[in-house]
Amino acid sequence: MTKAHGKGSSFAVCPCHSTRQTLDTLLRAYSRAHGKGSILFFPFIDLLPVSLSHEHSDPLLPGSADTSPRFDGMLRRKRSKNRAAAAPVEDEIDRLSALPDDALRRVLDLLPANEVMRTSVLAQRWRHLWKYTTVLRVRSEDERSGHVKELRVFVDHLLLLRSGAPLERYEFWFFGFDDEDVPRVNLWFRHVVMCKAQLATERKATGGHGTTFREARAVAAAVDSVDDITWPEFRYSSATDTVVCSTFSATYSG
Amino acid sequence: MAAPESGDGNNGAARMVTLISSDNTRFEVEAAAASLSQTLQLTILDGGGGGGDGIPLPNVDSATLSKVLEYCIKHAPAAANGGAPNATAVDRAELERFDNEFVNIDQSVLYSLIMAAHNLEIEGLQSLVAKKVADMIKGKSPMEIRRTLGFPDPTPEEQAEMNAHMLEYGWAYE
Repeated sequence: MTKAHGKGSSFAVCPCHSTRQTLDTLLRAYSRAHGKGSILFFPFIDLLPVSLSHEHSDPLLPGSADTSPRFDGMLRRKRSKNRAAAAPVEDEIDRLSALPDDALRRVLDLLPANEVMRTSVLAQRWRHLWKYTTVLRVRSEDERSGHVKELRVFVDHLLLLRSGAPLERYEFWFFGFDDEDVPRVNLWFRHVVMCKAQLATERKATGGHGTTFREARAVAAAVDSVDDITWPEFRYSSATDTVVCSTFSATYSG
Repeated sequence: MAAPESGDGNNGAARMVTLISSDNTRFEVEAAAASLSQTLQLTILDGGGGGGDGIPLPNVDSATLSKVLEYCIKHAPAAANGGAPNATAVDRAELERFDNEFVNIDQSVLYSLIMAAHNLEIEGLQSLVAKKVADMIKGKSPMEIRRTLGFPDPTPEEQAEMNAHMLEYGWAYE
């Protein structure tokens, strides 16, 4: 959690309920499954606006439309002869490529999901590593791009394509949502729970009581319908202007 | 993170073990420090590495091993306290300063350390080097990451492949 948080607000963290729902038919047998993990849930957090979203004007996409999409599986990088001259640099690359998956996965576990995805383009070696991170940090960096609707395509693709690879921790930060987004968010939660992640919630108050109230109620609605899972509930403390976790019934029903 | 117990509670004469690097250099080190390695821990608990024997580490050269042991020696006292819950803020700050300094190293050394930490299963060191690499990647575009990690400029072939990848993964790059 090294990203910038809004100044002057405090964090409320709670350890939460362990839930194990396995859909064996969906879960692939990745032996890396560790027992415990957590999901961190960051609704509508007011991050300092760090706009990472526009730096994708990357030289990697030099408008060269002459390449058609291909399947990754068909791409086998062959070392071309004209690189033989660059032997020392190539050694460097080979050393990096020689690192075990586990070591690279540890690196990716530390990065937010959008940055993890950026590494998938680096080289053949990195293409599919992103699918096996045990931590998913979906973070919206600013208000404009932080609405659930804006995140939807990204999260849908991310979760579907990584399939049931085990998760230890899920963080989801967003800024806002409409009622119609609730089932979608709910679906994402179900999915990560099926990936054996645990749920924890973390919430930073963003402003007035009214705002917090509405948001937290919607969150409760989002998690309420997941079967057989006791989800944590948020409670707003006006004294500290924070939301803390409590049992699932209360404070936001009116 | 498991806090390795060296097994001997007597503080007087700390038990020493000998580790032998791939290039046959012998390192004598406190068992408690070497036990930060999950790989070595069992052997050491079984009484290995003592006397004239030594534990051979065919995957770790002496330069890397000496660096690894520097880390282990520094972190052994805290690890003995079970991850140092009682450590003072000063102690923690000192360890943090040490860690930052420790990974301020050449990339080739860093790669060797990553491999060694992985092979020896030293949890704290694995996290530390991973964080270093993550910091090198953070906030950068793919091209910048390639440069930072010392990749050569992509060949036209690679470039085409990368473009294709980015087209397929358009959802991730919007």
